[in-house]
Amino acid sequence: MPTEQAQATGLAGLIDRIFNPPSGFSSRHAGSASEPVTETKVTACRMCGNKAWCTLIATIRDGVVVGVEGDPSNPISQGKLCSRGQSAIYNLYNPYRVKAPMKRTNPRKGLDQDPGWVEISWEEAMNTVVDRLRKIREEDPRKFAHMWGFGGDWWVVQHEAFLPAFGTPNLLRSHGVLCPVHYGVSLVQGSMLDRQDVEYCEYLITIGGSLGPNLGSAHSIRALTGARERGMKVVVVDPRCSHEATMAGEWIPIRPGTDLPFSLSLLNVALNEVGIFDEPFLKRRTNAVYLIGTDGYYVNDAATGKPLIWDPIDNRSKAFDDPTTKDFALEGRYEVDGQTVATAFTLVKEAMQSYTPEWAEKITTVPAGTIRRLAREFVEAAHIGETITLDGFEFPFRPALVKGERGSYSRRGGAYQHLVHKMLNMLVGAIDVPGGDQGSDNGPTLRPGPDGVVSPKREAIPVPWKYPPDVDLAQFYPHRHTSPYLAWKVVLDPVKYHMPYELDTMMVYGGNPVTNCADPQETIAAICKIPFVVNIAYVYDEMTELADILLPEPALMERYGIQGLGTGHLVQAQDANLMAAFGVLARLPIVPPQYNTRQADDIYLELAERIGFLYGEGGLNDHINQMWNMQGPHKLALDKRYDTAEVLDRVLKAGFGVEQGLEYFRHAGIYDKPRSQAESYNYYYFPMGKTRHPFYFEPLLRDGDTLRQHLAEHDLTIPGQDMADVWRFYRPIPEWVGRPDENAAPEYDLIAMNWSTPQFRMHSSDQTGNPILNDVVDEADPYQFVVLLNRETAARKGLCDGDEVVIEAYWGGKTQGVLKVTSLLHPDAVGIPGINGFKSLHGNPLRERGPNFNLLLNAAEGTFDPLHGGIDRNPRVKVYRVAGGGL
Amino acid sequence: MRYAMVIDLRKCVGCNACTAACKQSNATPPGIFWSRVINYETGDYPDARLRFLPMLCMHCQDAPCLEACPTGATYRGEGGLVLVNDDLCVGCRYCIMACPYEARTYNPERPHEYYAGKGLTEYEQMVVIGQHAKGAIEKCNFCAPRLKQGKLPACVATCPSSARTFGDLEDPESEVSKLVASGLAKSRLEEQGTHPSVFFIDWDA
Repeated sequence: MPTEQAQATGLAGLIDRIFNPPSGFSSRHAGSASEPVTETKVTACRMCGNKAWCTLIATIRDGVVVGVEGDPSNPISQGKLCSRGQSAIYNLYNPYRVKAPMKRTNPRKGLDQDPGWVEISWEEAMNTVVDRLRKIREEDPRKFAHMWGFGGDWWVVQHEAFLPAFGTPNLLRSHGVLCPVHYGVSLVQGSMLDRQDVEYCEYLITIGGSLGPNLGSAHSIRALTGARERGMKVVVVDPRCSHEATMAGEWIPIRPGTDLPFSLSLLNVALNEVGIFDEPFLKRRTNAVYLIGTDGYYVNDAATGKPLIWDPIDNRSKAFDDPTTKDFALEGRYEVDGQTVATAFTLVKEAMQSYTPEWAEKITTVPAGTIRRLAREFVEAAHIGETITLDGFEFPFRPALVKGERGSYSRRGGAYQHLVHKMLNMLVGAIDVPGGDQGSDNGPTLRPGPDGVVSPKREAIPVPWKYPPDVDLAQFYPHRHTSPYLAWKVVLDPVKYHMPYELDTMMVYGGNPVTNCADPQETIAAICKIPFVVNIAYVYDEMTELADILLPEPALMERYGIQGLGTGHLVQAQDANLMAAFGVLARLPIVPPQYNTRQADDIYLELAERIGFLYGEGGLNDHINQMWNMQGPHKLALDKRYDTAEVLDRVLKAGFGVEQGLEYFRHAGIYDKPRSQAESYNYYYFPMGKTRHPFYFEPLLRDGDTLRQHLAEHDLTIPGQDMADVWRFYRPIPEWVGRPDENAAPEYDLIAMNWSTPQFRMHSSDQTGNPILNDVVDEADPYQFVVLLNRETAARKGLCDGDEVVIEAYWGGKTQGVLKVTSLLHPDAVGIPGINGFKSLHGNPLRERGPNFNLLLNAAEGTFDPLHGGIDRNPRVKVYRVAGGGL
Repeated sequence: MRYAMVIDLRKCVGCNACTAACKQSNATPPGIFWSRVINYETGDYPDARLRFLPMLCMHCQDAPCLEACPTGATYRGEGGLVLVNDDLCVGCRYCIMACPYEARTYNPERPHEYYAGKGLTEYEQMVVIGQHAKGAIEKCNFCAPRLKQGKLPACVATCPSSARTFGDLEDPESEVSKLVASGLAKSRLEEQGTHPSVFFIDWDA
């Protein structure tokens, strides 16, 4: 076996590899004396670092991948690859990879410390981890936490199976603190994500997100192009003039971090000034007609317990599903059992009245007249009352929608804003019907609960209460998306957070919390405090530098993997083809591993077997069967040890119905059995009369009161929080909750912002370390690796292009970079695109380029949204020239 | 046969998938680009717009570079392609001066590694080194090796928004011919008399 040291150096490494090939990899250079052996293989791409559904064809010559191109047989990617996909070869051939198991020899930890890596055998590495975890499992399994991120996406064993089998509740996720885009859609549509149907949409207001271009998402760019050719108008509400604003629409510059007032005002105008609604939809497909008591809850029928509505023809209240109902009162106050009650719609309408466009203009800088015009254009574009027949099934046709994304939702009030967008779309009936706002999950996600309303699913279901809470405080924030930043606070001060135990070991796979969380300094301090950290790692980065043991994993093209079609962050704008996608992608290694690596799934299977929780009921195999919903003869036997390929093969057969299993994917990258067009819309499964969307968010009130009771039972408040402030986020009607930095000193006169770029969206495929992508950016895109400032703002401050500037947040966080002035940015904004400026001793120096936006973000209580847990992406900052620096 | 490309600026989103595809497919060394899409801006806030300028060799029918080349290294290939024979190129760079589209680059050194200071990867050893000579002129060849295999140029094949159309300008039924004949697709710097084979549809067309 070659040593790490020899492999790391150019010629010596080459000679070593040729003459001492690793076991199982002996034929690689055998053909070099004769004609080269060239073959092509298909595989999933995933260079976006997440869940796109593109496949690529690799050309392999004498065992070396010498070319990649798009796969024309994939009905979704249609032969296209984005710039990241085109750079995939450098993911495979990467000198910064972790090439053998390593152990730390320097006990002192920190990014300024050299870990003193020493290469060890897999046997020693696994023995060390097994001994540690076995002891924890016997003593207190909660002391083991698992950290996961999108780099570990596509595995087949998964923490949903491994952690319950081990017995710890402590799952941490490195991603998501800047991406809480799930609560609103989980509550209103029962889905993980919301998407825009640009097959039919004609008018789209997009706020704080990208329809595809910023993400470099090949299929969404295609869908957007098609929609633009068809004439779809896109209104881009964004402090920055984006690709889609240029391509397809109108740019509405907005002051960063003020999207919620804009959306509240839009809703107010639609409700109280335009006054045109999809009344049948509101009456029969939402809870807008439910009667609400003075306590904020539904008024229920005494006999049946069902929520009441008011029938204005019979002039009395009835259960919502009473077949004798002749009409539903949308508005008004009524007497029921001696109590004056109002329809939910009336309460919402009244609550919105104070959010006038003039009020919003002061906060957002968007002219009041523009807000009024957009609200009217939106309602008028919705074709209220029209229908469309697809596959013989008649749908409402509502080609207009308002769509937000992480740029809007990741802040205090972000969950409310998501709900406000749902309310706007409900006003015109544009939910889960052609042309409108689509839930990303397949099939019958709109199933109602006993109250007739779509039952909350996914993150809209509160985490069950227990005390003491899990290490990420999920019980105190039961709808949080991910909260690793809270886990760091707990680790650093367990007593304050009611934690009776301290973490002993953290195992990290596919995540880099240092780069993905707010306040990297707090993250680093906490990780250093955890006694033992194991990292399954592909390249050296900030996370590896803080670990005790490194377990190297194969590169993408050397790796197995699986990904169901359905939800995917890279799929934003959707055409009919994307909406219908239904099936699975799986990958086999297309080249043998170059280094002494091991598939992560095999590591977890071995740990379970050796520690003793692989077999039997409740064991890992059992949990894998459950997690993948496996049925039939190919379920895993509970008394057998499988390897990754075998588990994957069985999951494909028993979980996805792929008859040939893994063998199918030897010659095809994707298994797509598209649904019909009608089946692509969730309205199809629960048409009019079969379910109702929540327009009034009673579950929020209920969940807040439940949490209040649990806390009272234990005589607790949530540590660090002003509880009166927390309860503002559990109200059934969204409201303006203010910014976390309103009291910052006036000198912090600008607001920072960040966005994804087509090349640098995530760390998880080492995008920022990829030399091709860096080369492309250097040649083509002057808007990366810089600090962007509006031209007039810069002039006012005496700053010029090329100045080295400091950006300092109101709470003290700082970053530094080279200034570029632009007219593409709101005058109050400071733009720092991409995910740059991270540094580690053994990591790729390309990652260090540019300013580090995350250094400006903090995660103190009171600054993040206590409902969905999103931290504020838009802190107030000041910008000044580096002392003695600049031109 | 005359190969031609039409780039629809109304569809381009500046994602540079084409640029990466070109680098990868032609195994160009670090810093060498045969094709690129420059992001730039026009106008003043709030009427400013982000714009994208795709640039590559125009494969001119009256090519100033071809006239300027003293050694015959630059030559007219099949289908009207403007190509360079590295063996005949002496690196005088007259062609670079002559090209009004800045489509040519001089490669002053033996290709070095992409991962600075880490040596050539196996991919680079096998592919990049063999295709790029020190002191030669680098430019787009419309992916001539791919054309021979019946494939489209890499930039055309991968463009997510299908902003690029490729075909035979001498075939009146081809898509490129129709776009050019309709007046929608226009060449750039027509006053130079270069008669390019690359045409653009303006964003406001």
